[in-house]
Amino acid sequence: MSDGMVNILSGNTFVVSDNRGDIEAAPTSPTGMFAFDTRYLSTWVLTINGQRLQPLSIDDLQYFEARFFLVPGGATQYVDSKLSVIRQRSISGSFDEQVTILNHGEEPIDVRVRIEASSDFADIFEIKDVLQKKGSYYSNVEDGQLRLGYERGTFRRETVISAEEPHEVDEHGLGFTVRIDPLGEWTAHLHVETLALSPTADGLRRTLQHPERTKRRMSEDLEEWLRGMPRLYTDNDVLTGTYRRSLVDLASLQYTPLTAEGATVPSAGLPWFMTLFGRDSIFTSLQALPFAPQFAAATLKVLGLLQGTRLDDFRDEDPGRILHELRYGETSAFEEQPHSPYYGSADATQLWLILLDEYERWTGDADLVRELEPQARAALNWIDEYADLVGNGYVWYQPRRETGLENQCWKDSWDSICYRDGRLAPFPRATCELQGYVYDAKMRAARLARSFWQDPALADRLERDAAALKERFNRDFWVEDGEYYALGIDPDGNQVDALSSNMGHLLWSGIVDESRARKVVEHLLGPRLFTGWGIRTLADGEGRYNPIGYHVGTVWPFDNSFIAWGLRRYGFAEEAGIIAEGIIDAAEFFGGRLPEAFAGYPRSLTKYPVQYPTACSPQAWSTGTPMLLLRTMLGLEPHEDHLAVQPALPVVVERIELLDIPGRWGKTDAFGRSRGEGTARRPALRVQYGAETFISRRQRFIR
Amino acid sequence: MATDPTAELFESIKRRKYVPALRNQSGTIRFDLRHDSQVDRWVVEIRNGDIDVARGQDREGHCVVYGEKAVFDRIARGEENANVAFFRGEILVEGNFHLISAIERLFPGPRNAFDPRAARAERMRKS
Repeated sequence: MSDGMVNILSGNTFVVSDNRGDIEAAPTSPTGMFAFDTRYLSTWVLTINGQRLQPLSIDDLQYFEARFFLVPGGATQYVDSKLSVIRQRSISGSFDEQVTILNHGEEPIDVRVRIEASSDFADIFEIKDVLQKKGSYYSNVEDGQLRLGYERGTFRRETVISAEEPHEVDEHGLGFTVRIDPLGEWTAHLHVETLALSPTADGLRRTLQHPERTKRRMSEDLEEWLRGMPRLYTDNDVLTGTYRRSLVDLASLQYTPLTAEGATVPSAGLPWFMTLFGRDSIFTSLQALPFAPQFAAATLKVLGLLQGTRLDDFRDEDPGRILHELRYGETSAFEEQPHSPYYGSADATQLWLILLDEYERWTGDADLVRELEPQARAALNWIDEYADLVGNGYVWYQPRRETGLENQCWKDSWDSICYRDGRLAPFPRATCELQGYVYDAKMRAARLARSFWQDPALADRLERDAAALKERFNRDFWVEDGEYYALGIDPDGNQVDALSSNMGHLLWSGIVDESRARKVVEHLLGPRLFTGWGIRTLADGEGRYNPIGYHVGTVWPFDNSFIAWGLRRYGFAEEAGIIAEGIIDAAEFFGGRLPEAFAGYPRSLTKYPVQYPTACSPQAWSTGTPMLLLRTMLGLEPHEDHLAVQPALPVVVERIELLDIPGRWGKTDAFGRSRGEGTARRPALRVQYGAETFISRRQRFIR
Repeated sequence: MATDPTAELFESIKRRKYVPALRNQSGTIRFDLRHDSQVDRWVVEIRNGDIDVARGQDREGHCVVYGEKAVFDRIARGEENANVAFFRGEILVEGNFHLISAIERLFPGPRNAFDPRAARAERMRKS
């Protein structure tokens, strides 16, 4: 999120304002009040006697509540005001703001308070890419309320603004004329309601509504959520703060899809991605499994319910495919965008199967595995029947319409899938990690088939398929002259041979031949990929490498967390610790809130991680990253009915105690201490990996 | 009698009798579809995946769907996506939303959609 912006949110309803609490949306800036992917307020400006205000301080009270302390006058003026203003706002479905004016003087004062309001009803997709609106606007004043509206055929959205105190209202806002006694104060209560309306025979009726949660209820929910989480004790203050921040941010990103029967799933991130995503919700649920397994259950059910059942070119839907993204805005409603829902994801289906197995391993919830057996079978069928566009046993993707996503893997920007020399790969595309996920999904589904579906024949077949895939993959994707796995292959069978972070996920999936693991790890932690903070998306020296390229050079914390998990799977505990350490160190510079991505400059060059310009924050899978790193540092693995712990802590963390980890064992604790042995070796390792700044930072800690 | 796509859609759902993917769903969905100043009523009952459809019954639904029959005729012919009609306000849903989401998955997709299986077979035949 851009600097100086203040966010409050509740599910897919959120407000982004400047540091005065004002909203003045420029066409391309994501400020405003949003709900269901529509901007309901694009102007919300407070003036006192015609003057704008300037901020003294801001309290982020809760994720759904903020308070601004303000005085009249521009930012350049010397502050000598006889009055000050407090704006306190909260969001819980609707938006409430209290404006309090304090008179610090000995004389009564007369003030004119004005709130200017308007809405462009922009679809969230129109904010990134401005379009001419096709419908018409209206506004009217009735019973002291200001009603702003937008209508296009049967599509109708309204913002209704009201106040409890006596006021004047016109089509551009509300005004109050008040006298405040010496040392007295006055408060106005403003209320903004967002409506989606459906015309029926009996007139307009409300549609697209979330059950309203009160502010008090939200506070209680947050406290209960925090109380229910495992408690972390560690000597590393950054880790403590980052963990705490993550818990609150994850709570804030909880989203109740209309289809979820009240359960919450992680939405993907503020401000662009406050909705249900297949991939993001699954990755975040995986990261959070040792902490909040209820996310996994809700994510599996919601995505299972909305699983593809038919062929649809516009939505890239196939039977058995797990959705990519769901949006409720105008562009969805009029099929200008395909998110109703859109299914163009080549990994969400495999990842859904992986989550189903991992969830059962942690929780022992066999009922859900049995309940979702039909969806799991359909998902397996999608992999074999619909995803192999070329007919050579791999998962491929290609959008069927121009509105579809070019890249249907997690690196979904247009230029992410390239050869060493920078050329883009032709369609269809098969990236390596998609195949790794298939391998893992089939191995895991085999376990489920044998243990819960009473189908040993299916289990045998899946294991045979997986073994054959592993063999084929290690032949077709291994770049002999560079000794690493290609980013992908093209339909002519050529390797898309860029060196990228994608092969880190292969370790997590288990598709890497044991004999090749060390080479892969050397690449991942070598100077071309490892910056000292984390692993770059694309290696320095590749044709398209750019340290601030979205998927061609930046470092993604979530990517690193899954690579760290993979490193542990293959026994590279120390290397996993190096990743954990780099990312935790980086978190310190972001106040414990890891962004979606940061720049891929070498750590020795910048000394601090450089934030990527338009990165989302908080973003769900970055928020989940510290949780997965805690898992990898402690070496937590469910084993039958107990939790196995195999700690391997990096140098900057001497002690981790994680208490009350939920799972099939009830609740249990995990402890880790650095063993001390090998410490002498570690600084040398760091220098080798181009991260000498660790040493000076260590010295600072010691002082 | 002219064909009635909506009626055919509900009949086809009724003929499915059991949908494995809905085996943990139970509930009643009522459709009130307006046309020519009258309302056609369909009731779909799901009981652990078993599906039954009845016409014209005056029953409470855990979920009630209101709309023009013309919209449902288009949905039944694969010319309209039900979610999109809902986002646009042409369909109103009250009550348990996940039930209509479950039924919506049984509606037909667009005609003549690309089938990756056929394309793959073609590609393999050529190579």
